[in-house]
Amino acid sequence: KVVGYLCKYVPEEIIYANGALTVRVLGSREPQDVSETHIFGMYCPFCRDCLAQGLQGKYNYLDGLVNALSCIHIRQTYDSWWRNLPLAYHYYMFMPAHVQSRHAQACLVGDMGEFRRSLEEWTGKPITEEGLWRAIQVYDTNRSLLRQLYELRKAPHPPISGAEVMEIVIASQLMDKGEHSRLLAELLQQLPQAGEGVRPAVRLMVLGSENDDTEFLRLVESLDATVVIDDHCCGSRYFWNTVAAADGSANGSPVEALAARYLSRPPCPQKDLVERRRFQHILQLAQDYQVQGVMFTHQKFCDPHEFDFPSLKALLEEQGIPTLMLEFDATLPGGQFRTRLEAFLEMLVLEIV
Amino acid sequence: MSTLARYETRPLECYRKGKELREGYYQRLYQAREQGKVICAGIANRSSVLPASLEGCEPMECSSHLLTIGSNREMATACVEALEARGYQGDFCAGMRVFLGAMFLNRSPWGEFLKPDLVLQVQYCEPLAKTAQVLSEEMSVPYFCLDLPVIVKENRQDFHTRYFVDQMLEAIEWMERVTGRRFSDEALIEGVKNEWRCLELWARICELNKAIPAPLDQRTLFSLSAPVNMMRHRAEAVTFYKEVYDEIQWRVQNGIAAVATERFRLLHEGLQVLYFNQVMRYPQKYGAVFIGSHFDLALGSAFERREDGSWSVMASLEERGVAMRTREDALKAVADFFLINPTFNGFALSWRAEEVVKVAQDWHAQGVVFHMDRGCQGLTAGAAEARLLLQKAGIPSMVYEASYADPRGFAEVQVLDRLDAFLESVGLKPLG
Ligand code: SF4
Ligand code: SF4
Repeated sequence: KVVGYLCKYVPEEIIYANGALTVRVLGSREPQDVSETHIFGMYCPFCRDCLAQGLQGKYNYLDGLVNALSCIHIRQTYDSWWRNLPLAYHYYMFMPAHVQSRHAQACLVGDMGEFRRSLEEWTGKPITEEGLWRAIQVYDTNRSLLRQLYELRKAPHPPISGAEVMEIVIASQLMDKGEHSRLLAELLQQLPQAGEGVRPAVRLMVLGSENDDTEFLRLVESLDATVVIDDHCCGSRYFWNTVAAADGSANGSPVEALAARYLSRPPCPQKDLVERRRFQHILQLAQDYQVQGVMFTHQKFCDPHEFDFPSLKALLEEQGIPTLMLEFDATLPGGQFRTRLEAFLEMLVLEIV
Repeated sequence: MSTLARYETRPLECYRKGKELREGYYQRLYQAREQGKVICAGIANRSSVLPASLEGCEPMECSSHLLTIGSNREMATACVEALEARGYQGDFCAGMRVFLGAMFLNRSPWGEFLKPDLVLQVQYCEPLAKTAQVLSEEMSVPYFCLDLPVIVKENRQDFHTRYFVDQMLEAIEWMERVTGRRFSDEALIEGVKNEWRCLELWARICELNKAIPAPLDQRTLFSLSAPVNMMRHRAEAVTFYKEVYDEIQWRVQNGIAAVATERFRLLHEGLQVLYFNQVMRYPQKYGAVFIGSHFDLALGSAFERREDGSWSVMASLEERGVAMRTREDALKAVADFFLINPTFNGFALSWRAEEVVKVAQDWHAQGVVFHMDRGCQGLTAGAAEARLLLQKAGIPSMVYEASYADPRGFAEVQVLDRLDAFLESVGLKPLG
């Protein structure tokens, strides 16, 4: 069985422990209007692009589709998908928005339990405790390998470009985790050790909502800059903390451990509702990776990120890190930003010199 | 009666009392500081019983403030522009942009922006908790977030109720700690009983609007709903809604119409355009009347969805034998409303489209006008799917694009032209 998911707060390990392959639904960034009759044009291009892929039959191989509470935009993609496309199984899991609340863990453990029972009912196969621990082990291994890959980019001469790393992180969201870890472990052996890569003129961080546009990253990196770190939805936030590190299962229950991990992940804006934990995490990344400039790559109409943007921009600039805001619309190719990128990088190079 | 009129009409007696209640709310709020009270703000929480049960605390339901600013074209424009000057984009929830802009401009319709002492925010739509976050940071006041499980009642489990009740229990301790004032369980229990009485009465009033002719048009229904969304914990709100119910029931029994020329009934889905509310009365030119919507009918009502998507009025607390002796009992009763009500369930989307069709059928609406509200992602979600189901049910619908609180770019002529074209397409002609 193949199960698609829309938001990365979906606990993939539970699906994996049921023997199914998980695939993240992503857009193709091509102009489309097939989603217009299902989702009005005032919603982010990413959620409409994802629905368009489904309506164009690109995901007909999915047996099921799962979503977790995140934003109303992608919730419409899920709602229109099960209403209009053949699915043997679909499940919407509530996931607390206020992850900082001390009551969130018990609620998420409950919701994950309901999701587990629903999957078992659909497939007729039990999801055992051992199966869950094995799945957690497989996913944590992949996460640790991705963290090792990211570590290499702290070096003054990163041995791998931001675009290549993004390809690898996206691949892990589309293929079997064990297989991905095997290939990634091999790559980590072959990669020249830190210090033998190209010394970039400028070290950049990419922040924002969903952005799997590797074309755009190649454009940036063709202008003598390297994206050394990111904090966005299909980048570092996807794998940053392991279940083990979250250490949430005092009583040995794998679902408790999973809930603690998903609650303590680097949050996206709509899971960062009282204290600004997201901002602290980003400042720490900027320091650890010696970032010299930050690019906000927002999807148009993405209100969760629009709320954080002014305060986060001010905070970064107080730390002496210039920022550039780029608004993405799936139908516009990344190339449109070339001139603004060149101007931003020139300004940065002058500042660094 | 002119020959085109079909029904008798009569001014609404209870309308004045509703206005007095609203004025009383603002008086209490603007005198709070002089009386040594603290002000606890929330945006679209709808229930104010928690802050109202803290001794010497006045609840501030910020949505009433942003609705008032939104209906003033110049002020709303100044507010959204002030926010953009601070680096915010101009395309997320217009109500929140108007509210935050007013905060940065230190303005309100009655003078300066009213600075709260604490913020207690129910979270069910992304802009709400994020706006409360910015408000509490700018005003440097403490902020507690009550995260509402966004689920449909079929999937409701005990741990969802527990999650919301436990947060409210913590919020009460937090309010006492940050203000140094005592929370009164007696006030809470009494307040929650009043809330449920208002919710039940308002649901019955909304049901009366199924009558042909409709005793209330949607604009009047929206104004009468203010007390149930601002002060339903107060006894005077219960008295008010008893009077409203009696008057509307009398109107139904005597065939008194909101609009004498009613020939065609419409739903207006999506928030009303605050700064140009002529949209709501424009169809009357054809004898067409807006009589309600999913949001306006469900928001302050004790409605529960049946299997087929239609709504029934929930039995009262007493009839349901709900114990109301302790703080926990009262908070469970509050949680029951939020976890069953179709408006809050609606944010999970799974039933919203079906319910719009059922509302149209049960309230005998022959057409639906959708406001594609760029300024409200929360309630506009699912509208496109609702249109597809309406089409299958043979109910015509149209869409106009605007923003309920950001006047900029509002194409008045285009919107009215689209209404004309739609009303003529369903066979109506402008009346004499
Ligand atoms: S890009 Fe923003 S609005 Fe779109 S699905 Fe992601 S968080 Fe939601
Ligand atoms: S429901 Fe609409 S108006 Fe209310 S907070 Fe959500 S987006 Fe804003």
